[in-house]
Amino acid sequence: MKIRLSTGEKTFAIVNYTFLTLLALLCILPFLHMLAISFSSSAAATAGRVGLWPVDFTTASYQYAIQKREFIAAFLVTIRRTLLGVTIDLAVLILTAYPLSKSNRELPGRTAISWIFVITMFVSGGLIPTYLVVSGTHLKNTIWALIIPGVVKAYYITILLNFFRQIPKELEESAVMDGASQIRVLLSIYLPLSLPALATLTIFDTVGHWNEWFSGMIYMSSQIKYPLQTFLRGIIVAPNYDLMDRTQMELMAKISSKTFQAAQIIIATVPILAVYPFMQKYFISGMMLGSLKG
Amino acid sequence: MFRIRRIAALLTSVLMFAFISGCSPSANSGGSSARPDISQMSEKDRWLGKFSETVTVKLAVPTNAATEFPPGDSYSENVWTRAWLEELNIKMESLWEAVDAGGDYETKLNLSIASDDLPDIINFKTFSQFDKLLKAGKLEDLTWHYENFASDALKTNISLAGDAIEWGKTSEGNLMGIPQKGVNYQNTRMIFIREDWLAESGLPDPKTMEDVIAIAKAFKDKDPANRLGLPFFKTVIDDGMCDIRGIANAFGAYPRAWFDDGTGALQYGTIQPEMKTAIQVYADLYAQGYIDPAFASLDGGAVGEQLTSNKIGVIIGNSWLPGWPLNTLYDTDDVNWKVFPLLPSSTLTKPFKAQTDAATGQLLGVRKGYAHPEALLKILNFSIAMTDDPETAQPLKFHSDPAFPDYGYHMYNPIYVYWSDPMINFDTQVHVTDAIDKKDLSYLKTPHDQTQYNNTIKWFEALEAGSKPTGADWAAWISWYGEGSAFAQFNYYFANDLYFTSALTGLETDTMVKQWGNLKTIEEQYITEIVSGTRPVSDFDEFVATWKSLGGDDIIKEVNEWYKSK
Amino acid sequence: MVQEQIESANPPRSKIWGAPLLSKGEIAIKSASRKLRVDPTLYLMLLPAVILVAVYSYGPLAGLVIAFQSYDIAMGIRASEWVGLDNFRFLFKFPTFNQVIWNTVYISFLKLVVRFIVPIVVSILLNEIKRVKYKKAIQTMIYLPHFISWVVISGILISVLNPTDGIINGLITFFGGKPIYFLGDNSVFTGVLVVSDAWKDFGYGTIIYMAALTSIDSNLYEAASIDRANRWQKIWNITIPGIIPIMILVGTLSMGNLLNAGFDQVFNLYNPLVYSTGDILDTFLYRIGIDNAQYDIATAAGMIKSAVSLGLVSISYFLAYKLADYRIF
Repeated sequence: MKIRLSTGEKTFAIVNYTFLTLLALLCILPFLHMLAISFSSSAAATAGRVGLWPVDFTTASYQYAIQKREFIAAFLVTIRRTLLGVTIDLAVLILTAYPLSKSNRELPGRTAISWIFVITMFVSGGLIPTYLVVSGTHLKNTIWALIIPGVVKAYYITILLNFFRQIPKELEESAVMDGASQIRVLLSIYLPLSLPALATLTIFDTVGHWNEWFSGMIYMSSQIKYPLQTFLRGIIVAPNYDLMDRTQMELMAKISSKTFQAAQIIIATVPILAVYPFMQKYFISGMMLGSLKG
Repeated sequence: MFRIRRIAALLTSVLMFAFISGCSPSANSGGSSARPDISQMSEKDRWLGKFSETVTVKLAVPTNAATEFPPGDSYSENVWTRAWLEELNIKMESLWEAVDAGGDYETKLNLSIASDDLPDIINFKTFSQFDKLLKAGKLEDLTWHYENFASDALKTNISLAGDAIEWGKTSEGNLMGIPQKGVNYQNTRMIFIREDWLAESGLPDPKTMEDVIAIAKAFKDKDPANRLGLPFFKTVIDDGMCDIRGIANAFGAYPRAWFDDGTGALQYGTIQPEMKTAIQVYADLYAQGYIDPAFASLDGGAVGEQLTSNKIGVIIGNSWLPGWPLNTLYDTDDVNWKVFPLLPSSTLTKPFKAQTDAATGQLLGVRKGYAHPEALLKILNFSIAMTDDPETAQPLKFHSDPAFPDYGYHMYNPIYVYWSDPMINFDTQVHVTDAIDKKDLSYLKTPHDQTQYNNTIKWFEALEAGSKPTGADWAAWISWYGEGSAFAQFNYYFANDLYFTSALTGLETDTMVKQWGNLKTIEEQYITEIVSGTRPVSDFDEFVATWKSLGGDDIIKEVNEWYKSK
Repeated sequence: MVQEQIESANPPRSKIWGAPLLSKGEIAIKSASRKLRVDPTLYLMLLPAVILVAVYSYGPLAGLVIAFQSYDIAMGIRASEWVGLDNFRFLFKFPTFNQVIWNTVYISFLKLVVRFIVPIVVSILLNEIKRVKYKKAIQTMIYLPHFISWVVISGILISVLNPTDGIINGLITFFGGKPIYFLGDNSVFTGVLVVSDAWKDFGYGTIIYMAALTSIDSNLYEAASIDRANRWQKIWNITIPGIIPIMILVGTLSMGNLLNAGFDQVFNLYNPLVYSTGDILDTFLYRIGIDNAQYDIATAAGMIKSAVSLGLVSISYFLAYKLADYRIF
């Protein structure tokens, strides 16, 4: 059924489209600027002559980045830690959020256990104690140091349990009547109905793993094991000029030049940008719930 | 309640175990250090002789993103590690690597210390890390080893930095750390002036700091819409370029440095009245529009941008400026710069001195219990023999790829001591100039001379061939060749006894550890606010009082106690 | 100490506290007694996460004792000297400490409000867009700034906001205004922080609401259309109620960040001229602490932050429970 739009509705639509388009443009400007710098000559970038379009177009920075052994290695480490990390995180997340979405009657102690998790969001033992525990459990210098200590993310648990709670209880009750186990209920009712939430959390967690650099710096013993962001940080932090002689400065000027940094940031960011559009298909599932309930 | 307690008890016991098992303090105190039998060893054996059996040394390696290795090489496998193994029978193992910038290395070393997982040879970046391990009894006494294994060349180099060897000694005179480098004579400011703009202005070369300021003003007045006067930015006191130090020195002030006032007492530079004069100069320039109104939010990169976009004609900074960012300006606009030493103000009544960075107190130590402390000394002897001594130097012999540019070999050294001789660049400037002027390569004495000659001669070759030299060629030329080169200014300071070095060498007193960061902030805040006119210059006195009351007085007292005890 | 925090945050209610944890024997007894339909599988599901937080989150908490020590990394916890509350006193004694706390709370409160409202408004607006491709494109574009670090953004902002040749001031002078030194003027610096923060993360913040919007039953909209409800009525009566649980959750948890005003952003944008309005707890700690690796003082400061965060989150949690009878987590 088509409903004719009133004038007010039309005005709203026009204003809305215009507003969101302007907002979106405002958001991509810095990214376009980075992109332009990454394809510009070093001199133009150093002189601040690059706006939103490359000046003296060149792909030199990309070629340089791609042939750097450490960069490739770091890229692979990041892909590995992201795939492993997100898989494990989500598995534990689902297993944890599901029981906690129950009522205190179904799961005595639920509230207390929730608090045990929530507290970890705001209280931490600090750098040295955490380091000692991680090395005490022999994770140091393995990819697991980037994954295991951070598997449980209380923030995600609270989000997911809230989504789980919105799923109509009747679905579960009838399944239990039919003799379904809790695992079965989780897998065949809760998960399929929480795809938008799971997609959201997958995005958050993928982005989190992709961008995290500190544990790489702390737990990995050689540059070749660094994840991408740890490696990039080593290049981007302000070089300590005092320690350098002149020949070294020359190299530094080449490597830390804005164009090279921009190219590496672009290479490091584009894969993660692709995650959202990929996940968007799980966001259009509003119909499902209604039809199931219907 | 009861259940909760049990749960808590269970949890804590599991966790405390994990925690404590990681950090049990080691009980390896006492016991004399390992001393090999040296009765049968010749001097040469002791200094550079091979170990009879392969000795492993675990290192924590400070890395630099700028270092490019030949294919296949890394910090734990390169020209140096191969040479150590072949010539000294020392096998290097990397305990961990961390970027030597942004505090990463220090953080990881702190973690190593806290978890008692120390490298065999420890490269300390701060005096307090050294001091902590020393007090905890976790460092080897190196007195005997230094006596017997340090080569004359090493001892000479260390003595070039004055009493540097004293920094690593306890009050009882035991040597616990070898200074990694001495006073950094290269970090003295000099003046760069755009040659084309100077000619255009018709002004003569400057003789005093007032002349320099007048030149900067004249440049701006010529094209007020597009030019800036004197560059200045965020880190107002200490940044190697465009900081207040150069002009402060001209007026007899030495910010962030300690000096003997002649009565045997140390005074702190930033709070002296001369500093007020220097700040006044900047405040006046700001008020007259010769300093970027947004200077407080600019960083070095932003000033680099202003330079390369032809907005700046006078810059006071360090010798590395030609390498970045001035080289870019040569590449794009053929801009040449004239280099001058720091010049005194015409009002200066006391002898003029140019301030260099204080020694940082960076030391090399050996972990208590390591079986071969002499390995450290052999490595240091070897570094000097390979780079500084014309008789023995042959760094390229162990290069995996002889075609790889030789500029970087010193950067691969895993313990990161490269300029073992603090004067090496100064001699090189003279040698390179002589070799070019007299067309005689025998003036080149060390591999470093050779490297810089190779870089510099490219400028002349390009000119001869009628082509335009690159920015890198220009940077080498302006750095090394002739009286007007950057490194020649250091030789000028030396020849005329113009160097000022802080009397405080890396020591951090108790109050400094707690309050120094905050006091530095207060210094920067007052200077920025006074220069930008938010406060009147008379507030300098308020600054001094604040600085003193927030721990400055205690620090002055502690520093003087230390000074008197020397 | 974990337990104390739970208790202080949570007035004792026997029905909450009478819960067994991890003890299989007890669970078996309970389910055997059939007082409640408690499925032990549910507890087993919780086991991996409980073990992980026990080891990696609660384990390191033993290290909080260094807040009461003059902690020496080389001596370790056992041999370091106990100093009682000296580290806390050290912080409170700083003449600027009160100002820093005020700035932190003020900046982060403004950010919390703006960061809370903007993503909700934008999500609702996006939800009104019917062209799927357009909607997806906008979503992807507004989430871009989240991925650019503050180091890079600050570089861009510094040049865009420059009082002499920045674009913004160019516009201001074009319309006859006087140039503003946004990053050096105490009266506008906070605004710059709040706006740039909102700009960077509002798109990322909408993701969760977009997910929440998809789970609203579309039958409700159809029914409303039949009842001739207009767009505003639908937004007000269907869309907003549909995302209220997530709104409350996000709002409550963000209360825990009242003492985190955004280190990376402030650190890259501030300068001595705006310390009096822009210096926040984390930049202050960075300047007094990191240089000298004062872990003891950093831990003391961390404990203050934790206490405040937990207090605020607990208050919000119990308000939501009392007022709406809804346990957020």
